[in-house]
Amino acid sequence: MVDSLLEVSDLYIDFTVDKKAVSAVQGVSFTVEHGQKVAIVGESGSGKSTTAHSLINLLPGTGRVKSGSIKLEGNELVGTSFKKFIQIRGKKIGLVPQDPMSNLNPVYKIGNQIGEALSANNVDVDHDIIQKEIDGKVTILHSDNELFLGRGARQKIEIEVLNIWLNEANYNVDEVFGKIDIKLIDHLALRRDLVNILQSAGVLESDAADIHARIKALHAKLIVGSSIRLDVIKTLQKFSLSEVQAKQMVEKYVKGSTKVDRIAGLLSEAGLTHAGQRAKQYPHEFSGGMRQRALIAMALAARPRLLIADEPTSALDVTVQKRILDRINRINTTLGVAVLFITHDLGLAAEYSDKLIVMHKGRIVESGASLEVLRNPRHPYTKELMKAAPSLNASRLVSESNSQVDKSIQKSANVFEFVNLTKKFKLPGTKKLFKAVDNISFKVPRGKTTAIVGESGSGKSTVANMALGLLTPTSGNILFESNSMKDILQSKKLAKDFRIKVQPVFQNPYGSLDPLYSLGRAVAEPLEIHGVGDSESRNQRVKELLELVQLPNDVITRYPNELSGGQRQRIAIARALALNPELILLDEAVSALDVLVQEQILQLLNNLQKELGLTYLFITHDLAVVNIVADDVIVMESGKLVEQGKTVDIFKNPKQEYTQNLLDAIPGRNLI
Amino acid sequence: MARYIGVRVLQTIPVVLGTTLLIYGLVFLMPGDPVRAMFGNHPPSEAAMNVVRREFHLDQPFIMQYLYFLKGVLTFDFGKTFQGRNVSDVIATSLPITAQLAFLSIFFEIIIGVGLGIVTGVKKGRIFDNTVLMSTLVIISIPTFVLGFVCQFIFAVKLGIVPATVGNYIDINHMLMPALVLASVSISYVIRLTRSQIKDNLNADYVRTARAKGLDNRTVVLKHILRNSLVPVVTYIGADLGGLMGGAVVTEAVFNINGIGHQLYSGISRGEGVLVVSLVTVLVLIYIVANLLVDILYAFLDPRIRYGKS
Repeated sequence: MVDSLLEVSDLYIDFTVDKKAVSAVQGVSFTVEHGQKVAIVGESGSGKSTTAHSLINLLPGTGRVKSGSIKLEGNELVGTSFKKFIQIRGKKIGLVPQDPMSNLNPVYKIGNQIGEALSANNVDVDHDIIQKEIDGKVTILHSDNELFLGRGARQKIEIEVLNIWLNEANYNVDEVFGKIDIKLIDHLALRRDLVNILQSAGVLESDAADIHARIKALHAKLIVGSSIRLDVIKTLQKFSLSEVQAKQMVEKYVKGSTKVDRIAGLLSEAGLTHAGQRAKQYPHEFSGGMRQRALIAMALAARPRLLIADEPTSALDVTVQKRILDRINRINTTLGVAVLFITHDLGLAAEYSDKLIVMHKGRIVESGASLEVLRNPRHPYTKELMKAAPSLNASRLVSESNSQVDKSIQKSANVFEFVNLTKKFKLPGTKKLFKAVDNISFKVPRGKTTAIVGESGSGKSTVANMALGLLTPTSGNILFESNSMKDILQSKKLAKDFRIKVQPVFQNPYGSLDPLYSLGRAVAEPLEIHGVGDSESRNQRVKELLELVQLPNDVITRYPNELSGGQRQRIAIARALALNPELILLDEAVSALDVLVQEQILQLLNNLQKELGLTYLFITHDLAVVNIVADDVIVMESGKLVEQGKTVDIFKNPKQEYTQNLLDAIPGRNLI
Repeated sequence: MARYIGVRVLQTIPVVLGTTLLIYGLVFLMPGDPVRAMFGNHPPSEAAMNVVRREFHLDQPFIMQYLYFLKGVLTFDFGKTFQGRNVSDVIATSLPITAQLAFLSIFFEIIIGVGLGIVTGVKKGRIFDNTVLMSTLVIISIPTFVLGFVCQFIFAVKLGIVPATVGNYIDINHMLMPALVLASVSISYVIRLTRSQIKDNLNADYVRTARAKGLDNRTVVLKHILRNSLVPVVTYIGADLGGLMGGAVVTEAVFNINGIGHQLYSGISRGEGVLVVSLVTVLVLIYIVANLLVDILYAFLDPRIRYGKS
């Protein structure tokens, strides 16, 4: 019998806390076959990341494997020496870590950090280790046929192909080339004037344009430092060359690449464009998605058999998430690398894996084929996870509660009205103006939830900052309860009133609470600033607020570091509620939370809305969340308002392609 | 990068002007008449003293005196001491001595401080770590001159390993002990700073990623952890150069070294405004250049500073 790629049996992992052993993983057993995609799903604290890190002996802090067995291709890893693990990391098991922002060393160039992964594992940059599926099993093949395509080789191949195509089009190749300075067609596909050059040598314009287009397409398929002989032959055949011609060309030119090319090739494999130039940049010049691609390139450098993807996209926009996950999927099929996903999102896990393992409190509660688990969840915890996953739910949350709102007071129908709002920023170092928000108009009706959705850079946060009066619009107007924002900010009285009525809750519950303030003080602070009541009545109010957000009274004397992320976000909500605001602006307020916690917070927000008649302006990149909380949706792209309407309508019947793309990016949405 | 350095260099100009003006003002405000002090108990006629005053521009208003001084500095003419020696000569003979002492101290700071910092940071909580930490605490709490006398007594007088004083013998053998004593407190701080930085970075995400790539421990520590840990250490060492120059006053007295500190001390006690201002100006310039080097080294160590706006 052939060994499984990975076989974990009866694994126990302990952490030492205050000299006592705390069990994080209790008797976990599972297998990963060659080339298989397996996902471990669970909330934070379920032991899923701990299990993953134990596979490469990188448990944080005091963690250690207490008992059990981890077998990689039949070899026992538990108890293996530190030195032996260095051989396994990178070479046999690659890790794509969770947070792309903190996982690259800020002081070294991207290329350098990827090059390290090559040299640390003694990977010959000339050859690729190839894994191919044969008879249903992935086998490792070593062959001299698997040399990488080099930079110079690609150009020579392209010129030769140009020759062949000209010949096919019945031109005298020698004559044509005789009229061209060969140096002129250096970067064949990139030269925009290739058409002109060919024309000047007597080629008809239509033929020249056709050949140029084909060369360009070929160029895109031939990836320096990533394509191997086999790939090049296949590609050339697709471009109507005979097998013999292709083989001859490959034998002649494809003889391995340099390390620089190999680094660029790895980055292209991970889906980065202009990889050669990108490799010379530093991490801070990369966006989150680009960094994650660099980390994938790094993990794949030594062609591991198993790729551990530890929440690889939880910090990214949905559309970026989809592209990254699709890329990992593609790598899985083209290179035959097995993937172990670690995630809290059941929808994502189901869409991108063959097998699903659900973990809860250190134990596996359910496992099986992904679709099977999704369609027929047996364990109550799995059902709970399914219920919580916004991507798998299609209807708005409903709260049963008696509204205490006094409707006798006349109030304007809309809390906010944005009229032709535009905000321009000066680009640093130039005189150019950049339109972050471009002429958008919409209304935020009272007592409802209005969501602004878009990717990073769409301008949604700029709108939020203008709504909070933190940025002044370049043109257009904002009306708050029928008063112009300009007038509000100029009058002290109106401004104070505005600051009471509009309260923000931000994304990061760790960063938005002062670590030196007790939680009671944090909640009471707005009351103090606005001089509401005396210390006695404030204490009373703090207790009421904590009750509203369903936290026990004893948190008053505790500090932010003693609370979980979800509890901290509750404190932030309590603080926002302290002054009885009209509107709460929720800027990615649940994006950093686990699905289960996220669902609880959303439910809480929904209840509060019913109870207190609150208006929410919900800023998020996650359409799935919008679906379950918002009444109206505004979709933004590059500063422009793409689409707006009732949530139900937009989800059922999106009119714009962009909205459709956003909807498609929700993982697992089409599985149910 | 060139632009970054250019901006930093330009920024030093107002700093130099401001500090020299301040120092000159402080010396100007010192009580007593320096010309009378110069001649001691047997002052010459008022007319003769006026000649001296005119020669040293002491009859001019403060701001004119300062401008004369500034003009002199720009032409490398710092004026004369009361004994008639050129101040530039005094600087030329004493500065190299102090510079040797300071550079030897900085050398120890880097080698011993950073070295022990790395080892204790990586092996935190072990016996070696605790021993080093305890020792640094002891050294930090003892004043430098006490440590100087104790070292003199033990290593020179009792054991006879090194000479007790320096005097005119400026060589590594004589300078070793003074340099170590001068550097001792700084070494302790550098060890502690490096250790805590290493300790923090040891658990950084990118360090785990580096390990996950398959790098060995040595590369992870020396390439990934160390460079990120060095930024604050470099700041400290750069700023410390000024401290070493100031600290040299005490150390030079204990070990009888005729450096800047020694000259500064006697200049102050004699009320020689020109000499004191010139010496302090030199120290300020060294301090500014050291800080400039720190800024450049900073940018070298961390690309985010290099390319950062503002």
